Amino acid sequence: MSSFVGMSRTVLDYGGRTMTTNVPHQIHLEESEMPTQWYNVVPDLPTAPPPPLHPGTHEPAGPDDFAPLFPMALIEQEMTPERYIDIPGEVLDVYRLWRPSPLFRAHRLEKLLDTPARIYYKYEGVSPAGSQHGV
Amino acid sequence: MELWGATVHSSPSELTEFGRELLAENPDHPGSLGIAISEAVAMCVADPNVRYALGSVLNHVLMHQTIIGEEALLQLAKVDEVPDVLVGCTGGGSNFGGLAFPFLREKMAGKMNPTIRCVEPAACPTLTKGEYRYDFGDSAGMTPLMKMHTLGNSFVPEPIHAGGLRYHGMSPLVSHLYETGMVEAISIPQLECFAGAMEFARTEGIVPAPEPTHAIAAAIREAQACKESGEEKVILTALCGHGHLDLASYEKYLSGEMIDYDLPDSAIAEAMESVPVI
Ligand SMILES: Cc1ncc(COP(=O)(O)O)c(C=O)c1O
Repeated sequence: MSSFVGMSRTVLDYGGRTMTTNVPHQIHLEESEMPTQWYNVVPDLPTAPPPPLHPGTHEPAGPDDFAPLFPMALIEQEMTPERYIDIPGEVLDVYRLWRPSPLFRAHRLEKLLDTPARIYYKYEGVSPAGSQHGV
Repeated sequence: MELWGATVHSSPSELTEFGRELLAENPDHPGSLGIAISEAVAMCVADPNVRYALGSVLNHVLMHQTIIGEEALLQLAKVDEVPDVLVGCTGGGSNFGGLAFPFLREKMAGKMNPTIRCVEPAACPTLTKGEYRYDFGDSAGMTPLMKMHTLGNSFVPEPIHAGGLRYHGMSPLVSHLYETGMVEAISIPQLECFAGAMEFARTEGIVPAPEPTHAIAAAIREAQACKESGEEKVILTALCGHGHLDLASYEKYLSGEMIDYDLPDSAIAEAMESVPVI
């Protein structure tokens, strides 16, 4: 089931003309539709990115070289060959404070620009911190 | 942040040797992300009970932001749309990668074919003017070396208002994608970005953070090109934060005090001398 706010047709006034479109301003997901895995693009790439190097030996850096800086669980995620990582339950609980975030169709900006393009923006300002650095 | 339990120090700070050195040279030092990272790393190395929660650049941070793109894929599917162009601002690459990577997966699988474009500030043009080399992630040379587009770890960008984009390097993953032609990059000066943000605020209502004004300006450029060509492209962008904490920047813009900075090639060449020769 889709959950658009304003599922009824949006009517815009284009300089005297009236244009009707089926795409609402806000496009929402239900809380139950929130993704529960993060995607790791690295294993899908045609060529692997060059590895980080130890600054002294210039040999590829391993988990131990990062251990003084980062928690081991994050180092594992940094180097994982898995395509998907389950998002921990505690993180999902915090995400639910504002996620899923809305996708908006910028109908009014399109009108100002008088463009045939259709502009969508994914808005992360709904997080308590006001940006994607929400957690 | 302190309300939520953190103790916040402005960098460069008096807490680390590197910070003290920089402040002794220049008490009004504008700081940079590279300098702040050096100070954070110094504190981790000094205390086994301190660890660093990085906010961008590395693979795991970009991966954590992919929920943004996964949601956007589902949302666009609800309205039967497929993007032709995807634009996102890049400081260290996390909001860009977060939106773009799930769409890149679909592109690699042949299910769609969007152009994917990074947008960076003209005052800190890491991808478009930097070199693809091994460099330190911080300014004091304490991290492992990463192959990335870099302006040189000693590069201190001019104090543009998009503070989150003032980083000498770029995510090694985004750099690799740029180097292999899987994503594009452009740079835009801040006055054009704020002009675009004003148009956005006056139509869509939301006041954007200074960082995503770059993405908005790029989306506007693309929409204007569509007006010329008559193409009905679907443009997707990441409005990765609001600007309620940055109203002083808008005041500077509105009062005409905001300026664009020239970035002479000599400034980049000088900072590139700090990059180790491997
Ligand atoms: C709102 C916002 N957008 C973008 C950025 C840039 O970081 P990244 O390129 O990792 O998204 C920052 C960084 O502080 C930010 O606060």
